[in-house]
Amino acid sequence: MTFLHPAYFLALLGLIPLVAVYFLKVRPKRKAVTALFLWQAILDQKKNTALFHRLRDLLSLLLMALALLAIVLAMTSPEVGSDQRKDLLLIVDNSASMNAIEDDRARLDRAREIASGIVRGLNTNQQAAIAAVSLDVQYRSHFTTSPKTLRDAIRSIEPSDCPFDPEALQALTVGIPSMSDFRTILISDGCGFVPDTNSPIELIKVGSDQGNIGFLTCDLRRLDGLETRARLYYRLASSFEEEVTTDLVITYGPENRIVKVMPVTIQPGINDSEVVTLEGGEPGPWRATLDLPDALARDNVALLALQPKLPVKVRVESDHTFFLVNSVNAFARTSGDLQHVESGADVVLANGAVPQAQRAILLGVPEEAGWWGQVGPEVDDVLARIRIEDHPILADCDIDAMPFLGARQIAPPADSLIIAETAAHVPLIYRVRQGQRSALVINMDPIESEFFYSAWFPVLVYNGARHLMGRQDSIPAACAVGDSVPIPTSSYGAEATKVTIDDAPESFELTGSAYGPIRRAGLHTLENASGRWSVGANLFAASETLLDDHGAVDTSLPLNRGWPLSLILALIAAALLLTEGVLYQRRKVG
Amino acid sequence: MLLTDPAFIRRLESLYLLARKVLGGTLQADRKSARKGAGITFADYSEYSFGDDYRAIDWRVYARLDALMIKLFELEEDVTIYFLLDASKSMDAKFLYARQLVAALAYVALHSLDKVVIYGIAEELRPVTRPTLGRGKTLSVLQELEEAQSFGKGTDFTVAARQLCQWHKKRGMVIAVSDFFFPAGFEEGLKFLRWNHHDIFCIQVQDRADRECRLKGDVELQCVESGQLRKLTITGSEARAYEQAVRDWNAHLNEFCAAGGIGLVSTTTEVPFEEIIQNILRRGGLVS
Repeated sequence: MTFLHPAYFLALLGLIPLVAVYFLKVRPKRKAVTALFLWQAILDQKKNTALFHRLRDLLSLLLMALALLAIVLAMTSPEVGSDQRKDLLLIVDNSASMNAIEDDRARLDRAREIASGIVRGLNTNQQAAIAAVSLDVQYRSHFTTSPKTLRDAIRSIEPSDCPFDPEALQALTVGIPSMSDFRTILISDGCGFVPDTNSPIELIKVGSDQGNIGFLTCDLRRLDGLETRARLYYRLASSFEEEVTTDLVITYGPENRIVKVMPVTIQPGINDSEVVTLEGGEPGPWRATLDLPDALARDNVALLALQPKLPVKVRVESDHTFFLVNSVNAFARTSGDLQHVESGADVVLANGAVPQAQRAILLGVPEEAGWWGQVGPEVDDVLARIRIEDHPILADCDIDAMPFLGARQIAPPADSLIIAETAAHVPLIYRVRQGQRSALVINMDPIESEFFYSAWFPVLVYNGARHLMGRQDSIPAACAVGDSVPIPTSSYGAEATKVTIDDAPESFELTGSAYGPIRRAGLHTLENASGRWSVGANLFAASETLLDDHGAVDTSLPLNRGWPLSLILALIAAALLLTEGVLYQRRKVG
Repeated sequence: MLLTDPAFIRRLESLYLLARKVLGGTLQADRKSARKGAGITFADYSEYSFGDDYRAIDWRVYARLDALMIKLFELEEDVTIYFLLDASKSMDAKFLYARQLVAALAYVALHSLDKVVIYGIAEELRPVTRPTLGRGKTLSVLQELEEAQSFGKGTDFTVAARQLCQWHKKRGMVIAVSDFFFPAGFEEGLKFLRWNHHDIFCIQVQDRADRECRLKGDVELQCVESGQLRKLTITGSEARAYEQAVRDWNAHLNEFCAAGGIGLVSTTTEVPFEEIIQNILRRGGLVS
C-alpha cells in the first residue's frame, strides 16, 4: 500500500485532545431533584445495564479514535496495487453480441458497470475519454477529469445492432500517434476481436461461454414464372456444444400470419445452407423465426421483404415491330421484369426513329438528332471494345459476338457515358442524358447486322430498359447490418428517397443511388418517385451469433476500479461518527 | 409577594369575608369535629350504656321502641389549629406558595378567635410562631411566617408528628402543608396524629417539576435535601416511569386520607392560592 500524502499522518496527534475532550464530555450534568427516593426503583431496574453504561463510554472513545484514524488515512490517499495512473481511453464494445444475456443482465450493462467503476477509481489528476465501438469507433466524451461528464458519456452508450469490426480499432491505433501517453482499454466480450500482442489496446473481457443460435444469412425470392411460390434460403449457426432442435416459423405480413412451421436441427458451429419452398409469393414483409430462447435474441429472427412486381413498361416504335416486341415479351413471360405496352411506357424501344420520350433505347442513328449530333459515314472497323468493364448494360452479353455493322461516325454529347466503342473511338454503345431525358444509343444497323436474330439482342434490351429505369441492381429481400443497398431511381440518384424503419412514425430523406451502411436492424422501407421497396436488415454475423470469444483473453494491466480507498475510509469515518452521534444523543437527550 | 404586604393582606381579608358568608360568621364549621359531645346541634342516636348522661335519654324513642337511646350532639370546643408547614429543602420552589396558604388559613382562624400555632417541619419540628390568639396578633404572625426559612437535611414527618403530640397534649386541628414527598412515608405520622385525637387536614403542594420529568440523557441526580448523588441515563421510558411513580405516590396519599377520614386537597403552584382557600370553604371547611 502506498500513501500519496503521508504527511497527513501527523493529524493523528489529534487523538490527544480527543481523549481529553472525551473525558470532559462524558461527565454528566448534576441535576437537583426533590424526590430522589422515587427514582430509586427506576435505578434498581437499571442496575443490569450499568456495565453497559461503563462500556458505552469506552466504546464512544474507541469510535471517535477509529473515526479520526479513518479520516487521517483517507487524507493520506492510500492506494493498493500498481496502477500507473495514466490517462485512460475507455472503449466500450456495444456490438450486437454485447446484448447477450448472462445472469439476467446484458453484457453491455456489465461493461458499462466496469467502465463506471474505472471512472470512480480515477484520481483527481487523471483524465479519461469514453468511446463506443461496433462498426466504427464513436467518441462519447473528450478527455476530461469530470466524473459526471464521463458517467453521462457511459450512460449514453446504447446497444447497437452492428457487428464488431476489428478494423475500427486498428484504424484507431493508426489515427492516434501518441498512444503511449495514455492507456487504451477495450471493455468487450471479445467476439470478433483479433488479439495482437503488439497492440497497445488492453482488453477487459466480459461474458462467458453461452449457448446461442441464429441466422447467418437468409434470402427470399419468388420462383421465376410462379407468382405464388417463393423460396427461402437460410444458413444457421449455433454456439451450443450439442445439436439443438427447434422450430423455424415463417410468417408473412404485419400480422405475422403463419405460412410455415418446420422443425430444424442445428449442429454446433456454422451449418450448411438450406432452401425451403413456400406457398405464396405476396410482396411485403416476411419473417423467419427460430423458436428457441438463447443468449442473444435478435439473431433468432430474420426479417425479409419480397419486392412488388414493377415491370418496366416498354413501347416499341419501329416500322418492323415483330422482333422488338418479342424481345420485350421474352422477359415479360419469364421474369416479368418487362412489359410491352402501347401507351404509358417507361421506355421506348425505337428502331430507325428518334422518339420524343423521356427514356429510349435507340437502335441505329438514322438522322441527325440531339443524342448524337451530325451523322457521318459508316465506320469500317466495327470491332467493339469495352470501355467500362462490368457495366450492367453489358451483363450476360458477349460483346464480341455482336456485329456492329452499319455503325455511323457520330459525335455524342460531351457528358455521354460511352460503354463500348471502336478502336477509332467511335461510340457503339453509350448512355446520354439531356435534362430529364435519357437514352441508350446502340450505334448499328440491326438489320444489316442481323442483330434481331442474335441471342444478345433481347438481353441488351432487357439490360438497357432496366438500366434506364435504375433497376439494374435489384433490392435484396434481406441484408446484413453494415451493408448498403441500391436505391432504384430513374434519375440516377438525383431524387430524394424517404426511409422509414419498422413503420416508425418518424422518417428521414436521403439522395443518391445507395442506402447504407445500415446500422439498425429492422424492416427498412425506401420510397421515391420510382416506387416503394423494403429490405430487412439483420445481424448476419458469424462472430456475433457464435459469441466467438475464444481467441480473446483479458490483457488488462493493474487498474484502480470502484470507489477510491480514501472515499471508503471517509464513509467508514462517517459511519463511526454517526454511531457515536447516536450514543451521544442517547447520553445527552435520552 | 411579601406576606405583610397590604395588597396581600387585602386578599386575605377578602377570603375571611367569604368564610363568614359561607360558614355563617364563624369558622367553627371549619373545624367541625367528628367526635360527639355536649353541643346544641343534634348529631346522632346511640344506645344507652352505663355511665352515659341519663339526661340525654330520648324518652320519646323509649316510648315508641322500648329501648333506651341517648341523643348525641356535635362537639363544640375551643380548639387550637396547628399548622405543620413543610420547611424542608424540597419545598424551596414551593415555600412561598405554602406560606401563602398557611397565612390565609391562619388569618381566617385568628379572626375567628381561634388559637393558632405554626411549626416548620423537616427532620424535626421547629416553631415558626408561638401559640397566638386574637385578631391583633395577625400581623405578627404574618411577619414571623414571612421570615421563616427552610432548614434541615431531610424530612421525617413521623418525628415531627411525635414532637407535636409531645409538646401539645391538647387535641386540636392539624393542618399539614407539604409536598408529602417523605422518604420514610407519611402514613405513620398521620396515624400518630389521628391516634392523639387530632383532626387532620392535608394540603399537598407540588409544582410541575415534581410531577413531570424534563431531564433527558446522562444526568447525576442529587437529592436537594440529603445531597445524595445517583447517576442515571434518562430516556423516555425512565421519564415515564418516574411520572408514574409520582402519580402512584399521590394516589396512595389520596386513598390513605380517604380511608382515615383525613381531609386532603392537592394543588400545584400554578393554581392561585385564593382559589384553593375558596375551594376549601365552599366544600364546607376543613373536613374530610
